[in-house]
Amino acid sequence: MSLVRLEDVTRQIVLRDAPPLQILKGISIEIEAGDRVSIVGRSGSGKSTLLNILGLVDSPSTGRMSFDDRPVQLMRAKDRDRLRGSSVGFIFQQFNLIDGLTATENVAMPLTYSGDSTFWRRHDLAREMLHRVGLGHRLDSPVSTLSGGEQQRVAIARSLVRSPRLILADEPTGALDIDTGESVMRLLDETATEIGAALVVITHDQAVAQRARSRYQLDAGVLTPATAAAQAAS
Amino acid sequence: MTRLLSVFIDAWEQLRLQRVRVLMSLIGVTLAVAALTASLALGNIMAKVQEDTSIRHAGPEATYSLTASGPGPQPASEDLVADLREAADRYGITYATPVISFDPVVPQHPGYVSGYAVDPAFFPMHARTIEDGRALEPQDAERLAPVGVISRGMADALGIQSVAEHPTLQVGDSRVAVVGIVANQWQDDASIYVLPESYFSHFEAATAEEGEMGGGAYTELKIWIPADADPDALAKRVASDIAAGHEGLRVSADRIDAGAYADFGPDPAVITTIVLASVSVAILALGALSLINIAVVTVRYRIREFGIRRAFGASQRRIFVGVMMESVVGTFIAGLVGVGIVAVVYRSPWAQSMFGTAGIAGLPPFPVEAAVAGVVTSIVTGVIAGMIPAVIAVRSKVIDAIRF
Ligand SMILES: Nc1ncnc2c1ncn2[C@@H]1O[C@H](COP(=O)(O)OP(=O)(O)OP(=O)(O)O)[C@@H](O)[C@H]1O
Ligand SMILES: [Mg+2]
Repeated sequence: MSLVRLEDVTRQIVLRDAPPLQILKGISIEIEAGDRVSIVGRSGSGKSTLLNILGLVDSPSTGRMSFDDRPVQLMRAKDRDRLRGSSVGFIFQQFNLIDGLTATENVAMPLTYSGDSTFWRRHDLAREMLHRVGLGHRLDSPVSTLSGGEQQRVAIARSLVRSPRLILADEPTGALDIDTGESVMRLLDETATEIGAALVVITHDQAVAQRARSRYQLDAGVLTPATAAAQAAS
Repeated sequence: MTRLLSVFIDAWEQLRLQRVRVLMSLIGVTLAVAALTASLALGNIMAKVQEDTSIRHAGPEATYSLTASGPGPQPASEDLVADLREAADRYGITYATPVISFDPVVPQHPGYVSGYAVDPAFFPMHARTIEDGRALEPQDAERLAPVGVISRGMADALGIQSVAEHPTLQVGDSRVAVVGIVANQWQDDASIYVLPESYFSHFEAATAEEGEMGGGAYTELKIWIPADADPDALAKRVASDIAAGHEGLRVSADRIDAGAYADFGPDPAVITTIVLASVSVAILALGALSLINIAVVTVRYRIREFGIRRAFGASQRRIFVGVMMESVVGTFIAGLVGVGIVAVVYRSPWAQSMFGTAGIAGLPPFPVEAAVAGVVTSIVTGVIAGMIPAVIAVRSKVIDAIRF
């Protein structure tokens, strides 16, 4: 049984006054529970688009996709929203925290949509998660006052707070210095292991890519296993 | 100078522009809801007071005044009263009363006192509340000493606290036992009510003496017939029965309750309410427009936030309702404040004295309908104002909002 499977998936965008833009071409990938996947690629190669499809935010133009072996195309929008909320944790390149809210409020936000008892305990659960990522001393700081590394930790805490089975990280270390990036990746690895989640990391940093067991590269919308040359380079 | 100015400009910029504007338009909503509630309440109270006044002075639906006129000699009041009672008995009319207005001489009272000789039915017919003691009763006619009910204003002027002290009052040559205190009809109302029997045996002569100098008593007969019993026909029959006993007497029956004037065009209270309410609704519409304006601008800044929320499981509907609720909560609170302001002003001594000078004795409780209408209107305003930004929020593409 696979967590997410893409078969021959494409994504194209119809533009006005121009031929359709082919962002993803014939992508096939299978991610199992607890997997460690890395995807590298140039800017504009379609990495974020692929990640959005994996995370049920975007949908394929053609091809088949399943989540928990259920075909995604047949799901109703509401069910897809619910599945995304309960099973996927996003970490964005630009952190994408909500300005004006505190660290705790940002981390508690996903639990607002849980629809179960965790909603009532959302602030406690959020604080607990912030402690785990080492931000126990900045619980009530507005996120805009935090440093880049701290903001990314808040983003990690937010992605983990609903114990997702799939963590999708879009260049999580892109805005961080090497040491901070290293510690953020270690944290991400550890916590993903703790909750038994699969982790897909998009990166252009080979050191980060090397941490994954399954390594891919994306070139102009075509996904291939990472070349031996790139692997040997490490 | 520049230093001073820069402090102000800096402070002005620090005041988050958006919040100030939201607050300003919410204040607009508050004022509009307050104005609306106040105008509805005013209309409501005016209508109530009118109805009340009409019942107190004329009577409920359908009340008739029977008046006797020439060309023959005017019969004695005593005969008219007897005729009325007899006719009422015959037709099974429970509420019938003569109202003989006279000018009693009350040496203890410094001012002018109105006297009324009435049957016991007078009090329920005119919605007169007995505040202490009791109303007049038929058996009072058998007592040797006259029995009277006085108004609260008169009791106050004479220093009578309660009928439990068995107060008595010198009226003309007789001593009247006060058995009840009735609510004032106007401020400092000084009135005394006695049975016709007491009037005829103790006060009529005195009044007649005075009558030679231009005063005198005036006798009115009133009957109340339930509106569903063909009241016009019955009233005419009573009138002709009374007339039949006296040579050359005509008795006319005129309907005098508020229902008799129902056909005379729209009620001024209704017109006032409509005008005031329309003005408030216009203010409310302006408030809502500026709310929409601000919300649309703000919501565009927040597209990214909605994208993030969607990525973490929020459904389209949830985003829609969320944006809508922000507007509704705002206008709801604004509306509550508006209704609260009106309620507080209504209870204030200032408003009470305003109503007092307008001739309204006891202010009726704040009309709940007006308060409910105010709150409901504010919620509806919030829903309408929230609709547009909510639609913009859900129309936005999640992916576009969070990618770059
Ligand atoms: N909605 C869209 N409309 C137009 N073009 C789009 C749209 N979405 C993606 N693209 C284009 O598709 C290409 C791939 O975009 P994507 O964001 O997936 O790249 P990426 O690999 O994540 O790049 P980066 O490393 O810079 O983040 C880009 O050229 C982008 O401009
Ligand atoms: Mg990208």
